[in-house]
Amino acid sequence: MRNFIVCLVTLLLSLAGVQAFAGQQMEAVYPYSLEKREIRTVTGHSTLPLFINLTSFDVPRMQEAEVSVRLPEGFSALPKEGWQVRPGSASAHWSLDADYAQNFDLLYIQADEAAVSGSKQMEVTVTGEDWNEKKTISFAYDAAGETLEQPQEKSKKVDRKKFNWYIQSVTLPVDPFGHRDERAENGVVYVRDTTLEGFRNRMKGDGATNWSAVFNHPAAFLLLDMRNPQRDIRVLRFKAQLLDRVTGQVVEGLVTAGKTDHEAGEGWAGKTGEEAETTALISLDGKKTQAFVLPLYVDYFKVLEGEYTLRITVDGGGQQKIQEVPLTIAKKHSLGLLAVGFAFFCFLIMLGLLLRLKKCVFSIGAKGAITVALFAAISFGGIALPSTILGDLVHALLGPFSGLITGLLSGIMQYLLIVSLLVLYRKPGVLTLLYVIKFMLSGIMFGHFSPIGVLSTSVYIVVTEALLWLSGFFRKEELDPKYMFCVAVLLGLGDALITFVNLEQMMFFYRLYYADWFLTMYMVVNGLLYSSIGSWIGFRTGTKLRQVVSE
Amino acid sequence: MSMRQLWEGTDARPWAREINGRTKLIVLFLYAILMITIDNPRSLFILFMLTLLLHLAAGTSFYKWKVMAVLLMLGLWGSMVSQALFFSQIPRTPLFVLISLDTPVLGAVTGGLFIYREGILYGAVQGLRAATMLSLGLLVCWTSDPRQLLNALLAWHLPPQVAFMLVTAIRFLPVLAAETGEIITALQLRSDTQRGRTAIIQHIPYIAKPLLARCLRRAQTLALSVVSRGFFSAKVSQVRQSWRTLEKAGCFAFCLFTLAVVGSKICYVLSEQGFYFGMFRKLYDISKLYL
Repeated sequence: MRNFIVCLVTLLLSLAGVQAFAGQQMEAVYPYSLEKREIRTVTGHSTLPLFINLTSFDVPRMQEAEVSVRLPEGFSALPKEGWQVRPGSASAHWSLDADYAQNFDLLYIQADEAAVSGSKQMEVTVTGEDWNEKKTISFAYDAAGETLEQPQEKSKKVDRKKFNWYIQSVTLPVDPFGHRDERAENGVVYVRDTTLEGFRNRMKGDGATNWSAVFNHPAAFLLLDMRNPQRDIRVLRFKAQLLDRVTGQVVEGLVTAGKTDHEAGEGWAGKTGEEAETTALISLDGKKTQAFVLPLYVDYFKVLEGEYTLRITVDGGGQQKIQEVPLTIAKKHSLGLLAVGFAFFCFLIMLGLLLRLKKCVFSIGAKGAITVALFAAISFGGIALPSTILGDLVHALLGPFSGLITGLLSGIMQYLLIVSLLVLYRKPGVLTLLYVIKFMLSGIMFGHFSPIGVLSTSVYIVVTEALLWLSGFFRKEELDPKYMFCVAVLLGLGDALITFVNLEQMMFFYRLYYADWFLTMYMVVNGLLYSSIGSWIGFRTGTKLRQVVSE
Repeated sequence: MSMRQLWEGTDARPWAREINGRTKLIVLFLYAILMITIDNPRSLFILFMLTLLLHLAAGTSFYKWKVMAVLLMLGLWGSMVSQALFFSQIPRTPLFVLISLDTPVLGAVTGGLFIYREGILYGAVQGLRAATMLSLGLLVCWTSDPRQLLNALLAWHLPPQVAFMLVTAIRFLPVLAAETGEIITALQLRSDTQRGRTAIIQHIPYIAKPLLARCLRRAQTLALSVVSRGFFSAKVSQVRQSWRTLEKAGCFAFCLFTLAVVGSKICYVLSEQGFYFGMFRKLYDISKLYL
């Protein structure tokens, strides 16, 4: 019981002590350095911040306070939201939260033309209900200390207020330390290809793609070289936008990284991808020259390759400076490279298959070889020839959708011939033989000997032979309809892959563009649908043709 | 001029016909490599014009010029249309709206479909690659007998059995075309509708089976004939066309030139990725300006 009484008394005493220490504390610094440097002299016509920090503690109610600043002669405060600015003074009304409150603000003070050198004093007063805090700040002013080093025409009077600070130059790309790599082309930003991001991450064992991390990773850094002849100290807003060079309109491509913490206005502002711009806050620290290394964030889903104008806007304190520089955005086409790499891989395998071609010819005998040759002739005359002659006409009429018509030949007819031949001669290599003869016919008759032709044929041969081998087509004793339906679908899927690889190759080698939906449509209709139908018809035809073989 | 005459190379000037098949195939292949390497529109255009000049020099007939012109125009038009639709670079100026972004389903799927002005020009430039290869391919086709090119492949150790199959395919192409005609006539006669008698397109699905059946029967007969005469295992006889030293030297020089172009381009692309070497600066300049 005695112990309890002692504790209670101690607690009450400590509470009383706290109440006794309750109050307000005001801090006012001018010129305030964002880097906490101590500055004693204000130089000619500069704009420097006055920092006021009011802390209230242990007052169990909300309080109202009036903040007023009395400025020395020749000094004026720049307009700011929440402040009433009058000549020679400025005031604001602050509300202090109960128990503990911290209110702070920066008010920019500018030395006018009328200000004369000498010792100056500034008075900051905060008045509450029953309390008053006052602080007098002394500083030196040197009007001739630093002036704008700009060539001036005698007849033209320069408005010094417009030259507090300005953008000297914008350089990109630079590394995170602001060093320019002379090997990298100036004004060209390479954007990574994120098409295979998910696949890449899973292969690396990183699991699902963290798109937030991808978007928060800068695509490039730029070096913003600022000049600050009047040695201003202030926070400025930086904004980078992409402009269409022809229309001058802002286009999509840049984004702002997500917030670094939960407090709005801290670091990067705004949510990712809300605006087509990269924004940041930068602070002038009173040096005559200052360089900023700023990251550029790109929306990987929206950015397009091409020639842009990069508009850099820096604003603050009622001033805005804009500089525009040419910018080229180039994408790394990893998907195209992958497709070409796959095609080369297929080419190497095909070279191996070609070595075994003679063996295949002997295994099917003269009759089989002649059958393959005649099928290849039909394939050439019935598919390649009309596709070359009529294909161009359909292509001219229907443009990119012509493949849906010509696909009836190259999809249905082609697979009809292939599967019916394979039903008759079910041996590995027969397909290779057919494609090789067809390719050579096309080369000899039309002069179609080209690297793309070779690579494309290789992909056809390797993918189709591999799928047939994997499905057990060559080992199965009897080909029943159910099994052949599965094979037809499998061949359709294989053709979808072939279509994709070959279109990517075309895009890579011929620098063409095709939309994703277009590639998907081709893969589904021309690849999967037409080829599966062709394969199924080919099975039915091949089964009937067996009767002819056994005659 | 019949379709058959159109693809024959008998009316070309003698100098063009006398060029060895190997030379033609090598030039064709190397030219194709150049066309996928070079990006500069002016260089692409020069290479394209060069193929047209070769046609002039080879004495391509007026009728063939007309056929080629139609094929080239159609090809270029197709390229322009596709790239005008899918042009994916900035700046781009929409000329027409085919599918608006607001169109239900299609608008969302396609993201809007527009004809872009810059895409038309881009398509024309990129279409030059395919157009050049078409022009050169036709030049080879119109200045060569198929046997000439086959001999070139045989000279490069094409297996005789494969060569035999190739010859068979070439020889039977007109026969197969004639048989297709016969089948279509038969199908037209059997058709019970007035419209079906004339519309070939309706009979196309029914052509395959009888045509393939005839092929199999022909293959049986031919195989018997070939095996009994021992043709299949023997080497295919070939008339060796001399490959002149001048042609060999020309091929070698063109090969070196192509290698230099490809090498230079690879160096330039690598320099863009940071693999920059000061000693190649002139090479980078040439690549940037001309390739």
